[in-house]
Amino acid sequence: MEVDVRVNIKDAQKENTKIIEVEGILDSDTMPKADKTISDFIEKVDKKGLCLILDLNKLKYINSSAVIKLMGYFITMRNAKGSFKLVIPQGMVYDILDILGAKKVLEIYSTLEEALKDT
Amino acid sequence: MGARRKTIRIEIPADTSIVSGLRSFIARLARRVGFDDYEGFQIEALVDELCSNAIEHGTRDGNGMGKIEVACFLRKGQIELIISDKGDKEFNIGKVFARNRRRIEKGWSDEELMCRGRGLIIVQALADELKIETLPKKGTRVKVVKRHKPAKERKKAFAFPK
Repeated sequence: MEVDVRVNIKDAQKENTKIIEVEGILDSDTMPKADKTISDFIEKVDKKGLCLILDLNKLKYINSSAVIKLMGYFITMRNAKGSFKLVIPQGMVYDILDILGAKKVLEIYSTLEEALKDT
Repeated sequence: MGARRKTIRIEIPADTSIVSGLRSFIARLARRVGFDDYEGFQIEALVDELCSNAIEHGTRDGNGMGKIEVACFLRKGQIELIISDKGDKEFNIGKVFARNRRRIEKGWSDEELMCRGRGLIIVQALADELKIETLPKKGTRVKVVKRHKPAKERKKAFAFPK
């Protein structure tokens, strides 16, 4: 059976850097489940100086309500003096973020390696 | 499917968990009339955003007991969707479009970043035609048309419609 959404929190093997990988679909139905894991992590972690990378390489679909949540993670990290980066390859998910003007606000990279290099 | 127009009407409860199955179903039908996988994704996004809006704003009781109707008209290389709800909220669509354009062109404030209501921006960008009618006490009816375009004819960057 296809996975609706799966969230994996990974150690980046780099100081002050964490990776959250999201796989599957982020929409009004699945976002609450993903958000619980991500928000719980962000709430508990020491955000100051932390670089949080959200890796959406394996994400197949995103809708506008899920994009709002991503913006919320960005604001939380920025206000706590941390940073927030998104990894999204060119394609359909990237285009939705482009339409919504997210490129003007968020740091977006096409590969995880590029995002890690810039931490 | 041939050149003749095929019509499908579906009434669904105001429950977002039903939308993902519905959007996949409609995208699959669209692929059968000539849309490619990328356009199928765009059609999924149109169905998703319009149904989610109708469920959120267009069901009077707001507790998931209302219903919305999705009508889908398919012909070769074209899909027309009409999403109808029975909401009693009236809104000025011109103001919504102007606000969306300003947000996209000038950027988002922190407050706006967390605001809902961006679904229509996606719909405006992806649909070839968009028409919205709100009738007092009778609900809102949104019609969108999407036509197949070969990949080489598509714009690389999305331009926000004027």
